Amino acid sequence: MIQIQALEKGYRKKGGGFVPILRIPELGFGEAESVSLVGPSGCGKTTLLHLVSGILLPDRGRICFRGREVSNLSEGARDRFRAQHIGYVHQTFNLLPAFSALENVVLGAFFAGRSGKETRDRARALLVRVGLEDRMENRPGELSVGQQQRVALARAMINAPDLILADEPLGSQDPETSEAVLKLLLELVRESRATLLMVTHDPKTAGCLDRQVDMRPFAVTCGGRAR
Amino acid sequence: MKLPAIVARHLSFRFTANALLSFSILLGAALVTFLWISADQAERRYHSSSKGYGVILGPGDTSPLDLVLNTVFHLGQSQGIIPLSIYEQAHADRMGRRVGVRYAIPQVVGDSFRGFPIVGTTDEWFHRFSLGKNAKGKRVPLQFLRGKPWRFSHEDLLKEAREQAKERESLESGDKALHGKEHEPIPILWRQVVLGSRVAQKTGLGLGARVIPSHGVGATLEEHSEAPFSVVGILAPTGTPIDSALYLPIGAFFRLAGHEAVKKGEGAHKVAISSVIVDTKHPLGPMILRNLFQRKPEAQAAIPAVEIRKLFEMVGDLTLALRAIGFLVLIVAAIGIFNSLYLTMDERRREVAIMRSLGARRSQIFAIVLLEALAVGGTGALLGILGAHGGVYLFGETLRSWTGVPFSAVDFGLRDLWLFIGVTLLSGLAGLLPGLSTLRTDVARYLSPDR
Repeated sequence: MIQIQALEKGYRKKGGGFVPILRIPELGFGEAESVSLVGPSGCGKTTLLHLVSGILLPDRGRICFRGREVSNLSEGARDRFRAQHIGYVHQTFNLLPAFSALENVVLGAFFAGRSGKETRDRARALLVRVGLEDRMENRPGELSVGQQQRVALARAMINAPDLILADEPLGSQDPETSEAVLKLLLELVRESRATLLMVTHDPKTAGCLDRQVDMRPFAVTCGGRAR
Repeated sequence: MKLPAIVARHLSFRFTANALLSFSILLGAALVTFLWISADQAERRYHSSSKGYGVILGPGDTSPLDLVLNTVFHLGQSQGIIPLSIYEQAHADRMGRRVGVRYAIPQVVGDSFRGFPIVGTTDEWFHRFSLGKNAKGKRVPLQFLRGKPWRFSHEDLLKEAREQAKERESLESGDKALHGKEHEPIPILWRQVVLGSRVAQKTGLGLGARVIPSHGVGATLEEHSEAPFSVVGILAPTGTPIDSALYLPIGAFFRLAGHEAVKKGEGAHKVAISSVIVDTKHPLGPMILRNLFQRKPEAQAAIPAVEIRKLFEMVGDLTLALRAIGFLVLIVAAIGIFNSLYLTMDERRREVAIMRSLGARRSQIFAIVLLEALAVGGTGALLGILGAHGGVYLFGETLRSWTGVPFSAVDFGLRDLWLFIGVTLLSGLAGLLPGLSTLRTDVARYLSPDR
């Protein structure tokens, strides 16, 4: 599904010059595969997710999604690509505070060009699926950490994405909640036959997925951050 | 979910801050609207009030504006006196070949009743004076709400003038020329008064009620208790200062205690009156009279339309300054919108980054920020304009009693629409830079949990 070739990402120093932080000669992810990206902080795990989603552009090399080069797309086309093919789950959930749980999920569909009763019904069904049937109208500030992450999962699934990018989705939760959310995430991924790329520091979590990719060999300098 | 719903959610989430911003816009819009309403209505009222007063003949040693304000608007003190002979010439249309006097009506002023001015005049005031033409183009005299006019004609005035002169002569020959000497008693038929509609409304007096004039204007001085008058008529409202005065036969006015119609040593033609209201058939009549009286030091001819235009040219600067203050308030409020949007940019950038990660296009994000600014500004402008009109509607009567200007709340105009559009666009302009700034949001950076 995803092919990465001769990828290089770095940042430009203030005084001039280019500092590479991530260099991936070749890497691929298959359809319906769940992959954990592991490695120490600063080795480019999150940067890789941003590159795959088109939020960041590589300095060199190419990333192809089902044969189409993401980095060659215009910004608008990358926005559409993200909306239609990708579901994002962040460590801090990144829910919009002004909107209810249901609206946060519906927003994911709105930006993909979907709206109306059908979308709203699907959002409700997803929230029921993640166990939040009685918290749909609550805003994020009125939800527990675990509930917020469930809303984020439902939002990521609203467009039935082909690829789910999860950036340490369990990082800020207690072990019990973490386990429950992971179980739910894997169930949803399997049901939708989506590909999952998940950044994690936890070997136990990584062990639950089909494959692990150690990012250390690709990291040029640990501690750097793509700009 | 549609874009306006997203904007509405954002606005309601920061309701207090947005409501305060809208309120500051509201104040500016209300101030500008109110100034427009008051300036326009005052100007309209001043112009409409002077209809029928083609030219005013009055004393030569005062300013023409004071003469107009005193005669038409009953403002200020009496500006002095002119000889009755000038009135006689005007009434007989002997002022010049091309003037064509339609009517010449004398006025004497100086007394009051409960703060309302009393005007002594002849019954031509009721029969001949006209504020304008009706739909058929016919000149309409003053209408009566109740009752009828009293009778005191031009001829009665000339007769009374002779009586006054004779009285003066006898006083002088008897060496009893004392100021304030009692006149002959006022005939019962002259002891009648017609009230302007506002006087009737404010005093609650009806037909048959007793009116005792006070000597002088302003704070009540001594009362003319020797001469109670009976209300015989109440004029229909005109929306002009005519509504705020009482009208007595001029002969009765002469005979009130302390009134001196003739100066010592002067004949009947020197009987003194305050002014003469003249309307001419010839459109250039007022100009001809003005030029004519420039060569006569004892009197002058003031043209109300000209003087009021001059007055508004003077007051115009003040109105402009007040409007400028209103617009400044609007600009400050727009800067407030800009500041508010800009100061919350960091918080917004995170939201923008989240939306972008969900696939939101830059144009959608820009539209959200811009629509928020437009909604805050538009709401404030709309409520401000409606509030100003509503305020005038609710407090119009109070404003009228303070200023004498009859405010009309439903006086919506195209300029209200322009103000609404202008203020909304100004607010949009304030949201433009923050909106453009969001387009440069570094999505990867703001998605980071470290932010």
